Amino acid sequence: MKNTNKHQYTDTLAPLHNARAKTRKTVRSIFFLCGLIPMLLGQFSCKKFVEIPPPITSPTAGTVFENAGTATGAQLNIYQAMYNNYNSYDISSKFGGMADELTSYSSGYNKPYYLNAVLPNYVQPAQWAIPYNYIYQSNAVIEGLAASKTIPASIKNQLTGEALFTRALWHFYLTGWFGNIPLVTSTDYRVNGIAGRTQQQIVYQQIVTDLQSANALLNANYVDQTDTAITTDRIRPNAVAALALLARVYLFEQDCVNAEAVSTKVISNSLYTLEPDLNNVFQATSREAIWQLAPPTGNTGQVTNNTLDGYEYILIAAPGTADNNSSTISPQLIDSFEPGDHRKTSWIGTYTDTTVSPAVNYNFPFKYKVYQSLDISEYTVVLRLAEQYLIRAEARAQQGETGGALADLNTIRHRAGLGDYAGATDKTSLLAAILHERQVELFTEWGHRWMDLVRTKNVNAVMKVVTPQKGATWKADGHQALLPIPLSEIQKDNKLTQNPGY
Amino acid sequence: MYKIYTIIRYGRKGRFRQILRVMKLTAFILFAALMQVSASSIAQRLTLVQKNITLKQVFTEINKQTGYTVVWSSAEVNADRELTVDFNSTPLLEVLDKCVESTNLTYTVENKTVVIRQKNPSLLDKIKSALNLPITNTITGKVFDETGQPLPGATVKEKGTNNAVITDTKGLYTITVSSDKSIITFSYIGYEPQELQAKDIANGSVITLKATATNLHEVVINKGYYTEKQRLSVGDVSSVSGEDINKQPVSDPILALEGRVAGLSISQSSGVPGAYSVVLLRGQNFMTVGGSAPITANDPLYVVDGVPFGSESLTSPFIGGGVLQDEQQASLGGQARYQTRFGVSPFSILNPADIESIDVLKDADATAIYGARGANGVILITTKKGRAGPVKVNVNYSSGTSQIATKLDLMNTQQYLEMRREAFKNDGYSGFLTPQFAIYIPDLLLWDDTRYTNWQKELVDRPASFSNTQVQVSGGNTNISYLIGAGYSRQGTTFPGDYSNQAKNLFINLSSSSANQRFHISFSASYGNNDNNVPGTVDIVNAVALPPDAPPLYDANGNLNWAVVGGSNTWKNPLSFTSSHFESATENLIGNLSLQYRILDGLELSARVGYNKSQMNSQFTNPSAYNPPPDNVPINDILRLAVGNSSVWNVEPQLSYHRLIGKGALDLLAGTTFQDQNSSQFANKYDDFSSDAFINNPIAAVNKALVGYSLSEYKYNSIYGRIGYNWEEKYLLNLTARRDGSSRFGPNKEFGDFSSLGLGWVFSKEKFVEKGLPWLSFGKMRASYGSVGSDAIGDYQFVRTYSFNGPTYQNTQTISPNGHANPYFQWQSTRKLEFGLELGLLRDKVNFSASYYRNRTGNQLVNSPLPDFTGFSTVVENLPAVVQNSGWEFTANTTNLKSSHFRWNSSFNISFQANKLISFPGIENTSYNNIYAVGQSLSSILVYHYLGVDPQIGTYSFAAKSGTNNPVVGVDQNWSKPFAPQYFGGLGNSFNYKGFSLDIFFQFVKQRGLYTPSIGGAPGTLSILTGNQPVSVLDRWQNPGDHTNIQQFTASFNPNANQAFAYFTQSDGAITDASFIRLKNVSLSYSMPDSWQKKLHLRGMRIFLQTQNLLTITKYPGWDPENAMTFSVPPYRTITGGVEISL
Repeated sequence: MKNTNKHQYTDTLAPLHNARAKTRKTVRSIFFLCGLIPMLLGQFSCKKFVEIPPPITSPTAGTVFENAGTATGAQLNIYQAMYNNYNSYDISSKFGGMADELTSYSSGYNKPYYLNAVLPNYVQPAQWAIPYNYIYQSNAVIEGLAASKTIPASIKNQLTGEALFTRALWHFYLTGWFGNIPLVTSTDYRVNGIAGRTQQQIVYQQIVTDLQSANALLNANYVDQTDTAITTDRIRPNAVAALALLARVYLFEQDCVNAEAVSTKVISNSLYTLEPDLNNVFQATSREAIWQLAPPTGNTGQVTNNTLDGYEYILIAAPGTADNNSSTISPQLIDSFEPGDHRKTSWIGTYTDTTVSPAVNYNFPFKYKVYQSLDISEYTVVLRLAEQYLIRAEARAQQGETGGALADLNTIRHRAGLGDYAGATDKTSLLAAILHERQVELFTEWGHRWMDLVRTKNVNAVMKVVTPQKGATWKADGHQALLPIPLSEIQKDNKLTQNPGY
Repeated sequence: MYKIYTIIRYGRKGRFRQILRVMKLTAFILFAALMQVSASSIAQRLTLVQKNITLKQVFTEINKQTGYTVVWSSAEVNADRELTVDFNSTPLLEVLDKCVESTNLTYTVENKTVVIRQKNPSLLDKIKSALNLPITNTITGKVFDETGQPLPGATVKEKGTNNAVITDTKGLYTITVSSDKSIITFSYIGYEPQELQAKDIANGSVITLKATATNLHEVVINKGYYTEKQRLSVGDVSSVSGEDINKQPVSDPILALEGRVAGLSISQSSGVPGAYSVVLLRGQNFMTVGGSAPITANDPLYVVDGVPFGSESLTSPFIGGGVLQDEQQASLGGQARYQTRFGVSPFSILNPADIESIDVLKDADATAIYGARGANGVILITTKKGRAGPVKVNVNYSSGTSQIATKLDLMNTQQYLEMRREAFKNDGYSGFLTPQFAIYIPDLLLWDDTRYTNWQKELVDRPASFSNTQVQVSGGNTNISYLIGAGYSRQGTTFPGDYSNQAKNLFINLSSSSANQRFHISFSASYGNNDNNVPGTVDIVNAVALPPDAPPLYDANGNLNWAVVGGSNTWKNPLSFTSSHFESATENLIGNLSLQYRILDGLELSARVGYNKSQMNSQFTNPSAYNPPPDNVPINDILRLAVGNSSVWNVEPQLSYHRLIGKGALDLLAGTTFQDQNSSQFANKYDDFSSDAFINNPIAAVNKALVGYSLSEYKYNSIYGRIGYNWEEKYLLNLTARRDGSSRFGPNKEFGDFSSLGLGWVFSKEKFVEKGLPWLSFGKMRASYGSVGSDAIGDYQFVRTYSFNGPTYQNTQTISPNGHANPYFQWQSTRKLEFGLELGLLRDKVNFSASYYRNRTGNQLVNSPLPDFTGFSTVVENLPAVVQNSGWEFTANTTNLKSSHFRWNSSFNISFQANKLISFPGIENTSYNNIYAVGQSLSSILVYHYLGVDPQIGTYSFAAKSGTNNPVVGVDQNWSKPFAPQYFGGLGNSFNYKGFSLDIFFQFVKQRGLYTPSIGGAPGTLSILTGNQPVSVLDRWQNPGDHTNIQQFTASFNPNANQAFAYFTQSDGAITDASFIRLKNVSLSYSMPDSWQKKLHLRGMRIFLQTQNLLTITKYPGWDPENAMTFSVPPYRTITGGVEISL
């Protein structure tokens, strides 16, 4: 009995003991847990796990500008892109069509340009987005090099100078086509994205500043991929290229004193001389060239394009309806050559279509002679000396320096096999003669003619005759002189205003 | 003093004391037996009258009234058995007789002690036993649920007797039965009972009980990092069982979810096998627009056995051809709102037969533990696990055919020609119908206008074959179990030619436990091989609208007919695609190891290690034969090769703790995740071969180029935790939190914190409810609130990167910037609020749940458009915009009829959704101004208001401030009604009668879609050789004064009609009701009666008939309402039959 009682006694206490043991266990395990959580947290605080190396396939902006090779690659990309985006052909064919240089058979993107009927939703990327992308790339190079600690000053200067140059170049074209434009001098989209349009005058001021800085930073000679060693290829802008563009900009600003002074600097540079043979002007070895674009390297052994102008303008069949191989020299341009002008024979080619009866002749721009070939013998010319003579002629004429103006004009005429200018030498007549000389000298190069007509305010007078001949309408208000700001841009930045008339 | 020794096995209090008692009792019984004393002299009496008194109470009463002690072993005696007694001074022996009446018990009385025990076997029993060697009348084992969790308290009963035991907390039971032929039933509330013959139950084996379909509240739900009983969960989780998935003849398991989960909207982009589906759980949270925004931004997070599964196709964007081409972007006023998917669906690599269940996690409570990836909800795919038991072989074979589910009613030749001629007449260009222009008007001037071809039937509606074979072997014991599966399925297309999506799968699961059950390990591996050669279908789909008089496909020599006139083709033979070849072979390996160790009671350490690797090799060839003459020359040969790779590894150690505190249970969980994901894409193109014969040999190409190469890495690290507490299973609390770090964010922005709070009240457990509402078997209210994030923005977006270009300049590799970079962006987060009510009525015969949710997604991280003059057109940034998705979801599951032979269950779900941009300060100053508007749904677009066909001039007219024929962009546009579904859901009924089982499932969607009563251009126009139109356009305007909804036919020479048609496609006139009800699935099966199976020596045999998309009811006038934004191949209607045999 006693035993049982005792048992019962212990039995009664047992749960209590068990409970205590359990509590101790629990407390232990809670401590364990509490210890583990900070342990895990400690583990976690090591941020390293979520840091990933920069993508192998795409270097970061930081690494690009700590290394001369990649920094150079970033600037050279603009030239590569200008070549591969067909900028030279695209601009000359579209604006040549818009003006009175070309007859376009295109039913594609070139058609509304040709018909002076570009609407706000029809502006092509090559006229807006692509140039602004070049400006972004230029700004990225300028900013990247400014922050770079490892690239030597000589390389920094050269590349920064080139980037300032390309930024100026594309601002120049954009303002020429659209008038007031957003002026973009940094990569910061927060600032740029809400910018409105800047007065053209201020855009020109920025271009001048950029080109002056570029001129100071750039090598006087042409450099190779090391950015410092001198080479004969003129495929990267040098200090003179900055001056050549600067002279043009001064002329557009009607700053004739500076235009004359700067173009004189270029003309007097012994690196450059007018090629006596018109057939050599667009050669890779042209001594007249101030800046050229080379096709991509490394295509040796294959039939390839030299220049896209040559590939797209030279007709080997009747013009089609695509945007390429569909332009012929307009009757207006053909008719504007004086008798005996060698440019009419050297720079204009003819394709005779014999599949129709009677056979039809098509005249096409033939400044670039190579359609495609195994070797590279031609580069795309962006700036050349002849223009500098014409800039100086016009600047001098504007200032009343008739003699100097005539001398420059005649230099160009002589090279084309023509005699001295024999017309009236009053300012107006002389300016008209120079404008005409520009027309026959610079045709189908980078849209010179269109910008000249707009700049000299002759566009209305010329186009109200020519546009109807193209089967389209030129409005009396002359609003077609400026392209419309792309509609999507106005939708994305409501500070942008549309050009009048659209 | 006397003591009643009762033995309660495995009670919570003092196991040692019990053992001591057992020993004492055993000694006592031995002693008593040895004494061999008769008890005949007993003359004690008992008075007791009571209904439903337990045996134990009777024994207590005996002790009280007579002083006799009654002892028994609970292993032998069920003292809780109830009986009705009416004793009035009844002698003790009579009382004891009554107590053991109709049981296998007997008693002995000695020295004021009564021992109750089981009868010694009778002579007959002894003989029986002697004949049935070995005697295994005592069986021990375990009862588990489907998730492998023990089921404590399950009843194990010898059928036809009162002999029954209850399983303990570990699911263990021991039962002694009278014969090894006895039938033992295993039952548990909420689970389907199981009956087995004693001799078929191996000692120690696990009996798995399946949850009863209708009794949702007992079901254990998977919340990824932990499981919970549905009735104790405060979160919102919907599950679809593998069984429901496998009733559907589809090769992509995602398609099997259509209509079955409230809140989950799935729309097939195309019916072709392997095509992608767009999946949205509770609406679109993120304002993704165009650009390079990842296509997956609004996708739920997919997790297969704990390893994240990428929802992006591996198909290379650089390669042409294949199903990737199927979609045509719906563009209404140039506003592309839904990003279409391309490529082979990554889910088609998952074998539906290997899936145990798919759980869809919706609210903050369920998703916050997934932190930065849970914003769009989480879809957990769980594969099957091995189960203990004898070796079981299961073979399932089915085959059938598919056709497209819906068809267009197109014109016949006569109607077509009439339309075309009238169009020329209307335009005033009848003069063009002369041989001079024949080449431009081949349908009227060149082709045989007496021909008629039903191109739809010819090109996209040929019968496609479907076959599926699955073999599974499983078995094992309590310590180790396995499941091995292999499958092969092939789904053909409805195109002419031999195209298919083929899937080969191997699957293995091994599970093992230590003898003391403290350590568990489970390993699963699945290998999938998917071969898809479905051709690019844009050409074929458009060719449906070929003029019905178009030439025959083959010429007299059996070659492709190009209908050459004057040296050039007059049409593009739609079968030219058969010469091009697309093939994409995907290999996928998923490995998963799960380890669990119970350190202490309730404290468990576990780890999950997973690896998932996918590789897709794609090849596309376009031989010269693809091109019409004269372009069919080898110089135009094209070969594209691409390789896509993706690999993810994932390690998740985790500690969980479970303890009863007070009247409640506490659950703690803490864990961490390390994840590293690498993906790469690689594509090459090869052009210009010397002959078609070499087209598969890249070395033979003249032009070779690398067109795409990309590598990216994504790393992810986080800690997560959970505190769950329930008080008497009545008041519920659940807290979850996660701190996430992702490599997709810039310095100091990598980490984000997410958390949720969930509360629940099981009011049916309250006394007043139990008493007042006896018909209410279950009632719960729940609420949750929390934040969840999203880092679905693509890798490396915060850092400005450059790409190497192909072109070089001055022999230097040029590099170009990839875009603007924003180092400041942060997590985008969604705040989710939910209220829910869950009810079970009439003993859970009717289960009902309702939930209301409101998700607000702010800090929108999107590719925000920028003006091009900034250099690039987009940048990733956080926008101060808030998108709200709110809605109601209702589900009901009922057992309508249940008898021993017949059962009828129904399930129903419906989801109402509303999507709204509720704030966007300064939207007018952003580029979003014309894309979204505050107060509108993200799926609304700007449209013109359509006014009908102008009865006088016969062209479409629109509401406009100036001139009803020339509405102006931005001036005359209004926001359309949303395109997102207004409501959708499903209704399922299943009937079981003896061996027959019939499932019928309807899916329904109420939505708007696009429909212009035309396919290509304006009716009457032949554009790129598609010109046929729906018959409905015949109701067109013909003469001034006609009132109709179709404008005059035009052959494209009437600029006003062309313009009006273009405006129409951008107007609300093109928006139509695209609602539909689809008989999604019908599945009929018959299991052979047991007697037949025995004769055939089979464990089971079932034959079945399954159909998918059998019937569609819709008012939508276009091809198919499901994807009414695009013109693409409708879903397939598949009918298959098959057999399943178990050995």
